[in-house]
Amino acid sequence: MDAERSKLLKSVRMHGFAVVEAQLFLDSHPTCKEALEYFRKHQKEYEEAVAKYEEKYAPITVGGVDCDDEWTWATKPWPWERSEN
Amino acid sequence: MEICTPKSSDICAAGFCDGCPQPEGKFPESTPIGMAYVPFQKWEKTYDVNIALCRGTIFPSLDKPFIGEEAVSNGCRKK
Repeated sequence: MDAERSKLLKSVRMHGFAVVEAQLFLDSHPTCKEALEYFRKHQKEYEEAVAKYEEKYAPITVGGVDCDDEWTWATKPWPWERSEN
Repeated sequence: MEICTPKSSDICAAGFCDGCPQPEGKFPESTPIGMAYVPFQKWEKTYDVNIALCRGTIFPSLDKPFIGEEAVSNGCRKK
């Protein structure tokens, strides 16, 4: 996996994790301004990282598959796979 | 905790009485006993996201490794 790709994947993971953490907090603090702001910020960064990664490399989730000519979910490496195959 | 001097005759010698020193908790008087209470989490300055991913939380006050880093290096007990 080239450096650019793993850097992008790390960004997907970091911001995805921050989104989940904010979600858990917001479940019990639904009107907390700081938490809502934090969620919006990382949600945006997460979506950007996913969009870039999927456009250039492979789908992050099945929902992100572009299957114009082949089912890339199966033909391209999954996000958790270490090396190209 | 100072030793109490029982005001009334009934019980004490740490069998409890009116004079016994009661630990002052932060709970309001009306709080029923016999229940468990968890302090409500407040938002706080979060870890930077790359740190948060390694620590498993964005909240420093939730970052409680039950096995201290110095005692265990990456998950295996030191011989």
